[in-house]
Amino acid sequence: MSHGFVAYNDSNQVLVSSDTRNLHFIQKLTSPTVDNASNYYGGVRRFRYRATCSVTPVPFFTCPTADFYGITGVRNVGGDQWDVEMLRSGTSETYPEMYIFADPRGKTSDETYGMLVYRDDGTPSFDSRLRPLSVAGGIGVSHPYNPRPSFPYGLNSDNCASMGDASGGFFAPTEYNTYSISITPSKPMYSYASIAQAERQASFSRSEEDCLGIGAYGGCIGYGTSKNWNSTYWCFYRGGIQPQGNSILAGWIACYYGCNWTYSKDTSLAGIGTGGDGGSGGSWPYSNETINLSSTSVIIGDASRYD
Amino acid sequence: MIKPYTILSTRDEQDGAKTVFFEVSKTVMLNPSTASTEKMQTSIVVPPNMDVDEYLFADLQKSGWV
Repeated sequence: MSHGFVAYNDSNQVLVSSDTRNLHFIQKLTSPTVDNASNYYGGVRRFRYRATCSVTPVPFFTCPTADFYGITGVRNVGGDQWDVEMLRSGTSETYPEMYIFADPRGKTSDETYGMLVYRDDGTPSFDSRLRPLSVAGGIGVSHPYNPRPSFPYGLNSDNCASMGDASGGFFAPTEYNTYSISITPSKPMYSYASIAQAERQASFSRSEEDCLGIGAYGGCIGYGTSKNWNSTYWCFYRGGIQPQGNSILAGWIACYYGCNWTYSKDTSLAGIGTGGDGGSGGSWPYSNETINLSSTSVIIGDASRYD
Repeated sequence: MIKPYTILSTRDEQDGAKTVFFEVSKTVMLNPSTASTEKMQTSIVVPPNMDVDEYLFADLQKSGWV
């Protein structure tokens, strides 16, 4: 089978080449499965779309609300079935439309006219019958180092008692970087993989010293009790983008969150300890860290071409 | 000034800011024989060219720890 073709635009950029594969429209998806929803922590929605594609899909999504969005995973779940996982901030129940693209091996066409370009291995690299992806723009974005610069108040030290809106407000992300870009499509769609990650945590502890009598030198006489509570609240973030007019904001979305607590009680009699001991040490592998902050590409297309 | 907080460590960030890990505590007497001490251990980001102690103290005042 003969092969070999290349087409350039007037800027001498390659549009079609038999040495590479163009992306082509595979399917449009709506109504995702929502895996997690919280109205705290700045709002969290984790959801996924099920795509059918014989090769690795490349997803694009619309941004119907003023929230941060990001693709957090593309997983093969068996055969030609893929789960495309997304994360979004905010509390809206409106979800993106997703447009799946792949190289032309991902779909076949019954139409009998058009242009088909093959690679030297006999597989297609471009197929005009499959609605090739037309890129309208793109930009590289980086996220601020901290999802929020400081914490506004304290949380309960006893048994992780501060949950819901208290710990959610404590960790809700506020920071973002702003990038100017001319977004020309009437219905823009975005390809953005959430790479940046951050973890933040705060420990609150409380101790009570209860003594029946105080000696001449301030020591405890009689039966004494010392109680100690500790709660470590944590939140894990992923990067997200939010289109806003002719800008793209690169910020953070809370993804997972929780709390770990400890409690201990020690007693003493006549100033002599009668029970209780403990200790801890070492370091956690990942706490209050931010990773993967290098520039991430945002590719913009026109979704109306594929409706 | 006796600082009501303890700076545990600092980390220099890419943009010149500093992440400051600290601990702050306050003690109240619940009754004549019971003292309750509350402690918070977390971090704060101090912007570039800002004094760490001044920034941290002001933030702790705002959140009610000092």
